[in-house]
Amino acid sequence: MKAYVGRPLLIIALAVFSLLLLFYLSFDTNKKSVSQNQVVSKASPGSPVRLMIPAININADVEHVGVAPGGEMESPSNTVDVGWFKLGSRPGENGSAVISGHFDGKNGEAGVFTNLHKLKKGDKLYIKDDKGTTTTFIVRESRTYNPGYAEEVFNLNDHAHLNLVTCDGIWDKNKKNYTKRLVVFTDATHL
Amino acid sequence: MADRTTAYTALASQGCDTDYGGVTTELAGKTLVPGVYCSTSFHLSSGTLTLNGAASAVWIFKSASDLIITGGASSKVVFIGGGQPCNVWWRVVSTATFDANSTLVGNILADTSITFAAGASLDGRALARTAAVTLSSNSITGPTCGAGAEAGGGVGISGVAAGSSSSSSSSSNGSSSTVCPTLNYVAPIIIDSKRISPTSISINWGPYSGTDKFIVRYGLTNGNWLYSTKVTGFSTIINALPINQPIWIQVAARNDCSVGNYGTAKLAGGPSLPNTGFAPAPLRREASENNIPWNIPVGIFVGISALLVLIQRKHRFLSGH
Repeated sequence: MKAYVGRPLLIIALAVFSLLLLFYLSFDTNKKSVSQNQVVSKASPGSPVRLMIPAININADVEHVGVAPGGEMESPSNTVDVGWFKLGSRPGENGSAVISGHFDGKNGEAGVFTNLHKLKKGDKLYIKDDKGTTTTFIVRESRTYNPGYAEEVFNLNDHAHLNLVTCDGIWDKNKKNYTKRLVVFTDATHL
Repeated sequence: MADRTTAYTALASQGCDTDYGGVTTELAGKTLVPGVYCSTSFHLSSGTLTLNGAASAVWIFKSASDLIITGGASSKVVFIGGGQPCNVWWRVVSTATFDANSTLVGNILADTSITFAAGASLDGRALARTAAVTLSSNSITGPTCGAGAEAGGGVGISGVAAGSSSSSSSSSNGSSSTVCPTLNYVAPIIIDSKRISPTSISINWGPYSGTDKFIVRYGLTNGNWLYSTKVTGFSTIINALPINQPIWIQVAARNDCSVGNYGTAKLAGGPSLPNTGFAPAPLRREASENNIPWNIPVGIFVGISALLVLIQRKHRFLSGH
């Protein structure tokens, strides 16, 4: 009788273990496939097409955005894509490339950068360009700004930077705008 | 050198308004309105060439062979109507030669060489493409030019303004000035930039490395420089820009005849930070933190654990403990 009960126990325990192992491996494989593609250095990066931030589970298409009539950087057209500021530097070239993403959507859904505040120093992100190459960036710091001009987000040219921008603070009903902006500064691992 | 060649080619491509043909043309005694004058050879000997035109007027002299200035101090160029030495161009296929104490105005671009005898002087630039500019106790200044009136008034000599350091060996025995001194200044770094209105941006740069004369060039994309402006000092405001459009800027040190190395380009007047949010739904941030589906394996794990405990209890019950 003891053996009759023990065998299914063993089978079930093995099944649970392999199931858990499968989940862990599937997440791990994603991370590895990204890092294997990374390029150490390149002379002239192409236009960015994809942004990957495994630490906060982002894998988003990159739109190209410009300046809105009011003078602010445009946001991407939807909550799942991110928007690269096409008038500035390209990610991976000397200068400050800037990418924006929605914090939330019209219908209350989470935006691609809802969890941007969770990035911490040392986290890695990856940009794939239209030439198929991937550039790696490392988070340096996060900073909160008031809405408005912030030249240093766009124009530092001592290195290849990639700066991520989204909304932060609390919702201002009157201005229909969040009260702050969150900028995550990252630096390319090459150069 | 490349710029010198560009200028030479630009001048060569100008059509002739007046063509004196295949004879040596004596310029002394002539009064000329702005335009392009061509000849097989130009001489200015013992007399006055009068250039009659406004401050922005341009005179171009194209010699198929040489340019010879003789007659010492009695040879000269005078302007009536406000014309300026910086807007006079001499394109010489072979050599330009200055006899002792002779004078000329304008920018000389000679394919071969330019030779100044003792005491000769030039209000302008002397640029030789392939051989030397030879000096001997000479005075070369300028070219004299009023603000905002440099070459280009309707004639379009692109590439000339960019200039380059001139030139070559100078067999100077006590020459009183140099031909366009080489620039050894540090490439300027743009320290700060700021949008001050939808159509204007201020920038400042440094460091000081021996000059306060700079040229600022800018455009809408990096590397495509549409405009440039000369600045004395370490800051400027660029006006009349497209509304809210950021611009790429580079700065280089300059002197009167050449431009140093440009510093790294910088984006100025970047946009304000984007508005990426909408009115928040309650507790969305908290809910969104669970967007990784850990609940599935955790649920399975808890369920199976409970099953295991139940089976264990049943086993104990059946085995009578």
